[in-house]
Amino acid sequence: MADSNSVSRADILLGRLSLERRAARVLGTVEARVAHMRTETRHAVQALFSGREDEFTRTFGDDYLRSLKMTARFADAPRVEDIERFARHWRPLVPPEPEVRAAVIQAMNARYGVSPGTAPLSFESMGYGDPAVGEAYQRLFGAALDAAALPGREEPTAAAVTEDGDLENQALRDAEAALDWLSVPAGTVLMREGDQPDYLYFVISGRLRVAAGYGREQRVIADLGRGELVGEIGVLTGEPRTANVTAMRDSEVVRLPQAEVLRMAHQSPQMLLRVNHILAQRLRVELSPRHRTGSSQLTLAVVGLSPGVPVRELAARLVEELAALGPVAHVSRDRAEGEFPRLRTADPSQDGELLAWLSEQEARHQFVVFEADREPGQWTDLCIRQADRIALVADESSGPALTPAEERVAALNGSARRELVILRPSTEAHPNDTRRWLGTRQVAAHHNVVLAERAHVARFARRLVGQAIGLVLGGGGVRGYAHIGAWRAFEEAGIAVDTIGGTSVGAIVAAGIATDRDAEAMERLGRTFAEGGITDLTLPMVSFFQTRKLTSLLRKHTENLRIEDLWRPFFCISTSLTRAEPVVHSEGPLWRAARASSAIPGLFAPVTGANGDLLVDGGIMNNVPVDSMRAACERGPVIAINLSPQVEHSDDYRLGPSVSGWRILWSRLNPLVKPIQAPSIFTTLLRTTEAGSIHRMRTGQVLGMADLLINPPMEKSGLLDFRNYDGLVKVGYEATKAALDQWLAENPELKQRLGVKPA
Amino acid sequence: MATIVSVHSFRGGTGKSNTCANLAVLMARRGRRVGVVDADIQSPGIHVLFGLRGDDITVSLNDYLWGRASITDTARKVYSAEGGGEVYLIPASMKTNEIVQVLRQGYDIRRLTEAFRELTETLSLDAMLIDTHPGLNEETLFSLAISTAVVMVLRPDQQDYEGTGVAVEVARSLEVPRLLLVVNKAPSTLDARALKERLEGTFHCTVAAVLPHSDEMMTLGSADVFANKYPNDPITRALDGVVEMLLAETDTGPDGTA
Ligand SMILES: Nc1ncnc2c1ncn2[C@@H]1O[C@H](COP(=O)(O)OP(=O)(O)O)[C@@H](O)[C@H]1O
Ligand SMILES: [Mg+2]
Repeated sequence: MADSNSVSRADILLGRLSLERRAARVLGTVEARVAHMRTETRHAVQALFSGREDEFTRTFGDDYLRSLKMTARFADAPRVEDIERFARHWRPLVPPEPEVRAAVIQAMNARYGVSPGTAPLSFESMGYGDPAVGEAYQRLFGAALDAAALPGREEPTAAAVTEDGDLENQALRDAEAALDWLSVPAGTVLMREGDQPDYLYFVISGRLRVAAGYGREQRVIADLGRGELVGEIGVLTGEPRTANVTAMRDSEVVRLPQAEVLRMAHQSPQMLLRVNHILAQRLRVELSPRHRTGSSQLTLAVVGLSPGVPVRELAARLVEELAALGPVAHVSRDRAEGEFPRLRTADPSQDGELLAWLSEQEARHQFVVFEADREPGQWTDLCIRQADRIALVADESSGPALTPAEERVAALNGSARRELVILRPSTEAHPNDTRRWLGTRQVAAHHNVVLAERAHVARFARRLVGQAIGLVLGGGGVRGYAHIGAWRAFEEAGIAVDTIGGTSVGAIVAAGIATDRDAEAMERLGRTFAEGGITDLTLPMVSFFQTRKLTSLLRKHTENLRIEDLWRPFFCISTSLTRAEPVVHSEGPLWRAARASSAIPGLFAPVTGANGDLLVDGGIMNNVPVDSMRAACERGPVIAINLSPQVEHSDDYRLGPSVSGWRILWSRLNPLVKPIQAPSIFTTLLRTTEAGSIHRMRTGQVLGMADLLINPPMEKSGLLDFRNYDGLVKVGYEATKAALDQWLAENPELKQRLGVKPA
Repeated sequence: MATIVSVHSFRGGTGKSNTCANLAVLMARRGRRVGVVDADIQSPGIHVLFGLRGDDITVSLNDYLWGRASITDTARKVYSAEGGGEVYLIPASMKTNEIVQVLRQGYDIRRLTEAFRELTETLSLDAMLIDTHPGLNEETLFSLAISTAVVMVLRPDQQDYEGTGVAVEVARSLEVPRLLLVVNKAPSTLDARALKERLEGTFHCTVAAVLPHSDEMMTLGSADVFANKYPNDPITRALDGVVEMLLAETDTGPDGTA
């Protein structure tokens, strides 16, 4: 139009006014997208060369918001070069209708003075060359759509003037121009072990998995998210790639070619220092036993396996609980349609603006929860595709058969981690069919959840994002009663233990806790064991009598439950004598697992495992299994209670080299003879059992993985101190209480994460 | 061809809806079949004058614009005169979510042309009156562009004068064939003749009526159409004069006074 500030009858009747308004909006969105990409590439460069990568993560949300506010002038208004450079990336933002495209071409030409000759990619993205667009242009503007209708303009746009004032040196500017923006679909392999290095990558959004090794033997080294760098070693040293890097879901990255990196390294020694620093830091983190592979930023999808599943309610409750862990966004179809009403009729996965909005949500929140529709469809597909982790939610009543929804999930996003949620009607009885649910499907974890129980939903939330609170109870014979006191300290502190595991006596106590016993119930149970007669353990032979007693006590107090049916996940460790390796029990009858874990060789009969292996006390291999717990908790705090001191207190035993057990026994039984002070066979067997793993722990590799390690002072209570039940409970309680108090005082931010109510 | 009249004002509260309803009833009295469209979708209200409440509107213009109903389904007869004249109302929805939907999504105003064509045919209408949204938005501009005449309602108030200047200029650029001004709510102390002359001099278009502020109209409070209740009131007679001008078939060209 000649005069854009007047209105004519033709404008109205041809609908030009509304088309121009739409075109202006499209242009605004394109500008916002380009401004965003430009801000991102700039930050990537700054992070790389000036060591501001923390800021990258922090300031991103604000910058993006700013660039999205179409009314405001962008701090960094896009230049013609930027629009052209990112033309392929903003293409999806241009609506398909030829009329709108014609109007967008007109508006772009009017605002930036670009012509098909100066910005060919941009014009292609707007549909220049499409006959339908040409016709629409003719109809609307009364002229043929060709170069003559779109005169180019030479003078720079006002937007470009204050350009680059803050980028001090030429090197950074060059790097920015050399950066390449890639949108990589889920499953794309960015580099392979052994490849020649070509690019350095920087993650803008999405998830990249770094793994080494081949086929099924792949070992995950790290899951990278926003702001992280990958491939820098290769491009600097020229050595072949040392790992495979795969996009776990649709991701955006920028990459810098090797030649450019080397050129810059040459020009700017600062950059080399910077990369060195990053490498050193990474190495330090990876070498630390507390190193976590899981990313803290996650996108989650809640998908129902049958139409009756209350997906909406579960998603809403999940969001509520995640809020204690970090900023969280709830994305449902309603919400997306509220932002973009046209989605009611369009395929959301084709909507560029929606996808940009989603990546904004991801940048501004630690967690994004995608709520799928009750029915399968395009929205549900989108949720599945966007997720790092997918909660497959089933209702108990619908039965354990595999559902079409799961096939869809596997087809659309095979790399996402899948977890099964079985909604149970009430906590009155433990579930008893979980095995059948797990038998038919492959999931990384499962959750038995009663929706009405807040604690269940909170636990599900923490476990789903890998921030479960884990408690590990170590072995230690009769000293295990200290664990019972420790449990009281946890209860008083109000710490919600999400998952529990242990070895030997730790496994027995953990089994009691896993069946939802509070401190009082545990104290009663402990007393039952203490007074139940497993006391006379002095005879150096497998005691069938004692074995039977222990077995029947365990069976009685675990109600014949299976581990997978528990509300609170449980595991314990035993040792396979057959294979000489540790065994992690996370399914099967609870009593049998606990019994195997605590089968001190020589005192209790071994247990036969499911595959026929002979299983004995786990203490031989792993007396405080923090490592196994870490695998289940990823980033969550793991608290371990160790009852085996590095140095055992020894009474001044007076015994010659040929002392016989029988003589000691005789000396005890004969009231006329002063008892010979010698370590009992029980003490010896127990210490023997644990010695190997205690020695290994000295290196800190296992215990060092705990966030809090509690060592109740056990040196003073003998391993045979059966009558000292109350004393042991007290020691455990006091040590744990003191340790928890100090820990929470030193890390006040933990209180919220641990669900501790303010005093 | 049917007469299409947009009743417009630059600002709200001028008496646009009341004027529109009265013109419709008076046209029907003259034996015409008239359609009234509540195109003020953002702030509908003319249905009240015809004795309808928001809840009574089951099918509305909104349903047509969203393709959920045909335009004839939305029309309901709200008045019939002895000589065979009738008034059909096409109301706008009073449902919050439907009003918000329009704000969010807009609609294809070009559908309104089809609607008018279909309505005039199926109901054999002689005239179509459009109660527009005050001010200038695209829907209103569209109504003006397709009208054969525009009645611009204003109060004797400096703000209204200035705004009407803008609206008249835009209507001219849209080549509206006839433009009539109706001054409403004039205080009894004002010299109507002098005002008419002054406004015609300023805006270069006919002032079709100067209606006094009326306590009866105020008291009626849009509960009924004034011309119905007070058929012999001077206001009714003045409005009937406007109807006469609108129906005069001879004068179909652009306003001569320009
Ligand atoms: N001439 C008049 N004298 C007194 N009150 C009037 C007159 N014309 C209209 N009104 C009153 O002014 C108010 C607004 O009228 P309405 O027709 O709804 O205006 P609009 O549609 O322009 O917003 C109503 O309360 C109406 O009764
Ligand atoms: Mg009104």
